[in-house]
Amino acid sequence: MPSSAFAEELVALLPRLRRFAQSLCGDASLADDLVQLACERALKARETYEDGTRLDAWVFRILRNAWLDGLRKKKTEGISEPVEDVIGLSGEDGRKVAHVSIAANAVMEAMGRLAEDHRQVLTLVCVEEMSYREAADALGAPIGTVMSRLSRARKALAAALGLEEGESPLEGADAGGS
Amino acid sequence: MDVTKISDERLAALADGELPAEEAAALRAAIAGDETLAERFALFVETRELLAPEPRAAADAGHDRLAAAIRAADRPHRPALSVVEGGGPARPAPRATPQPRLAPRFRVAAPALAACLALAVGGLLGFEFGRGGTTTGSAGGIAAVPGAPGADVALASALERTPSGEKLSWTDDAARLHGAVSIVSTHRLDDGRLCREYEVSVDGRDGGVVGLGCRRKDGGWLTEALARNAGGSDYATASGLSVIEGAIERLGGHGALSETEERDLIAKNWKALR
Repeated sequence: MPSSAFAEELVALLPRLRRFAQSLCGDASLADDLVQLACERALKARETYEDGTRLDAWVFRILRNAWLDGLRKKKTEGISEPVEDVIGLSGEDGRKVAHVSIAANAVMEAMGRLAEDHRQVLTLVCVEEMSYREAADALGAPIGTVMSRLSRARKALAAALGLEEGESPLEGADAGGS
Repeated sequence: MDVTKISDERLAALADGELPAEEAAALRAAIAGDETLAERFALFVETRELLAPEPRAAADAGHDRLAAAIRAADRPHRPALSVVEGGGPARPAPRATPQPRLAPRFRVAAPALAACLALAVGGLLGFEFGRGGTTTGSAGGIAAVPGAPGADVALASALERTPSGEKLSWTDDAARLHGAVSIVSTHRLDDGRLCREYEVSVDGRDGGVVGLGCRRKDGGWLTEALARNAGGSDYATASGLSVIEGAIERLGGHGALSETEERDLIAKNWKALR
């Protein structure tokens, strides 16, 4: 049976999803578990994906939520519970899946609205993949300046994209104390 | 570490791979223990990835495994046989495609990886994980019979003590289920790990589960591969076993150990020369 176009789009995103997950949790093979879980949730929730928006941003958010979900579960309940409850193999009952929709050109538009020095440093480090040292040399600025601009620029970008709403997958569910 | 004092700059630097390994590990441990910090950190990872170019990484076994899992999960209904593979690319299926069940690989993680630990080894069915060298491990974080932890207790015990070819029965009063665990064979992998092929059955139900449990360095057993044979289907019941045998081969096993060797290992609590 051929798989759907949606599934194939997820497959095409795998290299980026894996890199994203690896950055989040710092280990390649554990990151793959996270990617797999996120893709499963994405497939289940596919009807909530809006055509014409960035699928990558949508799945990144699902993956991020799955990661936070796991951290919170671990913290509140320890490790002595069936694995299916922890990692949500059996579905997301009671779990709110937080979604984001980012229009295809929204990131570039948001970049365009950032302050010039913020846009520059984001471009050098995140788009051109320069190291902090290289970016500092390119800008003729101290590395500390690069670092503070970079973190402020990212917060500004996230705010412009609506990523800062603090959506959490367990919000409103029986997450227990935190 | 006072997490409220961790600056955005440091979190961004971690997301950008700019921190020295030791500092990165310490920061990751702090992130694992604090949700607010984790959310702050995730924001820097997310913004980077939204801007980043396509990675140049070549497709590897992990990519293939995930792609297979996505395509399998995409199917409208699940076939009766589902498979968890412990790693490596999904094997081409003989006739009916065994569906890679969407479960993570179960593996031991270093403490610094605590951030992901909850996902990977979250549930050990009541057993403490990797602490104090306890000998009562579990079968590795997967419920052989969902809802019946009794089966997992028996499985952990059978992996530890039962010779190949013998059965250990289990009952789970809460789930009102009973069945048996049998050990099929014991293998030594190329990397020195000792693994045992097992079957778990539930009385009154067809099929059951076949799996491969590998002995962890710190005691206990980790399920590396699992295949479910559900009854009433047109799949040959042997297909689960062949999946496990394929997994053993892929992990670097070369035929079962002799009865003597196995008895010796059991007697020594699996403290094999590695």
